[in-house]
Amino acid sequence: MSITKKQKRQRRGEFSGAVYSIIIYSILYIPVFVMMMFSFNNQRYNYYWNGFTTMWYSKLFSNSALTESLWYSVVIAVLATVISVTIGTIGALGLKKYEFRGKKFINEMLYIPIIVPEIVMAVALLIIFIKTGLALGMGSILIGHCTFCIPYAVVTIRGRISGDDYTLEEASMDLGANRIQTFINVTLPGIMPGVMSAAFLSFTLSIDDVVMSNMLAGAKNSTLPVLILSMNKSGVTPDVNALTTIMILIIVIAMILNNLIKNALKKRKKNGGSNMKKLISIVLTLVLIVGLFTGCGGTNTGSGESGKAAQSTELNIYMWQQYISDDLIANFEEENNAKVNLSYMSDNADAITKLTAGGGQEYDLIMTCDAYMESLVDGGYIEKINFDNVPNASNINESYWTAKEYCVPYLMNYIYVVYNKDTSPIEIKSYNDLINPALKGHIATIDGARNLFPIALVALGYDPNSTNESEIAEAYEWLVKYNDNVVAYGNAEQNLTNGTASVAFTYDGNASWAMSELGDKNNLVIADFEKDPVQLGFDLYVIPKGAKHVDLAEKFLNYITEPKVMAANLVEYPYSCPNDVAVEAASDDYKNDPARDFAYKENVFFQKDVGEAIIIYNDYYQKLKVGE
Amino acid sequence: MKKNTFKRNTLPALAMAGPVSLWMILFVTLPMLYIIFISFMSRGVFGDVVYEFSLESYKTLLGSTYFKVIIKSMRAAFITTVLCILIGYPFAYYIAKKPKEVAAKLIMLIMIPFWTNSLMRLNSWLLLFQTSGPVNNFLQNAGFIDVPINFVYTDGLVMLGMITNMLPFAVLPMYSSIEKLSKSLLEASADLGASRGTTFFNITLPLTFPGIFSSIILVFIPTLGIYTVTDMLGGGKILYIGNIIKNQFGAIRNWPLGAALSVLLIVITGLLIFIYTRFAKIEDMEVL
Repeated sequence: MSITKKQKRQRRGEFSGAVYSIIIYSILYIPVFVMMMFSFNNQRYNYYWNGFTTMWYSKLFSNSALTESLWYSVVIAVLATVISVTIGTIGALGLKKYEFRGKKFINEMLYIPIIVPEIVMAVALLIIFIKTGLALGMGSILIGHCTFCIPYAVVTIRGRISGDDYTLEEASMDLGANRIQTFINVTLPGIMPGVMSAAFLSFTLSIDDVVMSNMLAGAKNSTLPVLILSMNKSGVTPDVNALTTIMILIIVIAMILNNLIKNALKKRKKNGGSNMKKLISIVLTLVLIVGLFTGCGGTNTGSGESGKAAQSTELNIYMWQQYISDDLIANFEEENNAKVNLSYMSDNADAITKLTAGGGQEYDLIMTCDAYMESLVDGGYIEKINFDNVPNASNINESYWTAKEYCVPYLMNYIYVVYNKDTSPIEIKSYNDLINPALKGHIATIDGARNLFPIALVALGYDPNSTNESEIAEAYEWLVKYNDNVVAYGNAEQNLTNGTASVAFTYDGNASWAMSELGDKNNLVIADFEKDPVQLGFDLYVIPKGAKHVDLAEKFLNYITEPKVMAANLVEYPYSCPNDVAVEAASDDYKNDPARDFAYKENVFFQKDVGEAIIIYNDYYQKLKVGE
Repeated sequence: MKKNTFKRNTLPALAMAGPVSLWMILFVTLPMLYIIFISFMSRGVFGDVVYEFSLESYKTLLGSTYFKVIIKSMRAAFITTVLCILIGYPFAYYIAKKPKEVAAKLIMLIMIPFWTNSLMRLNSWLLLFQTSGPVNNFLQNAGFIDVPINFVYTDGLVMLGMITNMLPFAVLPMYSSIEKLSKSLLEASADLGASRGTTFFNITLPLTFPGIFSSIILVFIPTLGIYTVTDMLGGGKILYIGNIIKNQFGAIRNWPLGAALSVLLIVITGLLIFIYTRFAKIEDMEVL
């Protein structure tokens, strides 16, 4: 009687446990399935579900930046695993077995990377790398990853070393085996489960790491997570989903294979050396995984520096994400038999940091904006451009060109207000309308101190480039009200098209995308500003001091200012363009774009260098974002 | 004789413990010391560090602006941790009671999603919950709501992202400690007439406490410093300490303040570890 009751209870417990686990597993797997589903989404960015397509999978093979970054991720993860497990294994044994001065200290240090927030470790390493002049790139990322993988490896392996191992070791030595033999035949098999766990953990931590990689990434070889993080502002393209889907399929296949190999080995030899078998199966699986990844990502593994050839074969560019056509880059690479490495900034300030920190070491072209030109020239951070090598630059409208000897304007942006005429609670005719409480939770806006403060200053009737602290403080008060109405910073197109926001303060190119995404259903209108001027900004290329591939950089500048090339670029990136000849050659769709159909194109202001007042701006900006 | 000890003891000790010690000193101790050093320096106009002693960063840090962020981040990390432990413990318990072979597979199943990209998984939540997304569509079609609910860029969604990202770090250590629990002990307790509840609270829970505490540390501290979740799901409106630190080294370019905030995180971490060592030996901290 009591037994059946107990059994019943157990069965009930088992059942509810199973249900509970299924719920947890679903929560863990729902995002994975959504991610996979959206790899078939027929849309330029993943804003919402827009029908089925398999084109992203075929596009994957042409998007070299993406497959390359995956390749780097895998290489780094494999290397980090091997290094960490090797150092970790002998380290765990050494720390357990031997007594020496400072051992306690090392033991404590080991826990620091595990328990200190990753951002702190990343920042600390970044400073050390910059101060010692070590180049950022694959090496720095690898060191960063090892720094948190080694402690995990030591801790995991140490947990598996039991006291018995020493007796066995001693026995082995007594029987005449030397140290190395003893290590391979006695010690290692004993701690194999720990070593396996450590390898597994290291690989998992490394392949998915964002924080450390993002801090330590250099001009080239950024890993997949870093690339995805930089896409966040504009939206993730479905080909990333396709790539991640393929990745997870490879992993699942590899696991099934690993199981099969293990079983096969088990059958062949029933007794002894079970850890050896495990090792063989893991090694085989690793080889398979790497093989599969190479099959996908392969072919375009970095060409590296071929150095002293007459013409450079490598060009490193630092610019905004999703701001230049992949096809054009591919064409340029083919024409010049060179490799173009693009890496991306998430803020204009990033470019300034790179330039002032001696960017020429890493980059050949850096994108910046007109506002910084004066101090960049004064500081001697950039090279003069030899325009004999860039004849096509004459296509650019001179009135849009500041510091002409030092830069080549690329695209330009009106930053204006666009809203949904059906869902916006009010009509917008000035900046002050944006702080109307009726708009609470309605606005998607671009970010950045030097984009936000000018509109507040204009609204208050001040100079948009004011350096007066009390005016900036007033602008801050204005922006606090604005911030109340903001639903999100960034992602304007996404939020306008999916209905999260009904008003956006954004660039004309992004508005153009949103309008064309909505197509016939377009109900977005450009705010009919009567008095307030709008900001017009230029994105331009500069060559940092000490750049290593100036010849190729100038070739690139000449290529991108060629009317035909720029016109093709404008189809994909429909921003305003200072290249008049290219605009003339552009498609009718571009010329008749509703996003550029507004009356106040002449009523503009420009961002100017505000000198030391930038500190005041930054402090108020930080206060604004913290939401005091 | 002396040479002999060198060969027998010093040399192997150096060969084995040397690499790990050297790595830790070069890439952990030195950078940490430098961070502390910089936090006491002054800031230059263009983000460079001026080597002049100053307590400015610490004064700013204790000002109301940053103090609020610190409190907000700690609260978010606290809620995430509590929820991860509450959700994770029964889950870990269920897995630990399975036969070893099955348990290993179930653990593997937890880890697989983490081999896809965490940012992509966060982005999925955004796609699911956005205004015209599947969740709102379903609720509208089923007649539960008339107007779409605004889930995105809210604290709730950020919390969901945090929990789904941190759950494995809560489950794994607790799983290890529950798995080690001796079955005979539980049976003895039952045989002696203790109810399941009594057994759980008097035996299971105290014995698995080191595992729970490891989980707390492994969830709370990373959550405190995380910035990717708020970046992806917070719409730039929700900022935690991690975001602020990242901003100091990026857009805002105030390295000394960034360093001071990092030092603060180290201090908080140190306090937690100190409390931990009251309960358990740090060497026993479970990871996997």
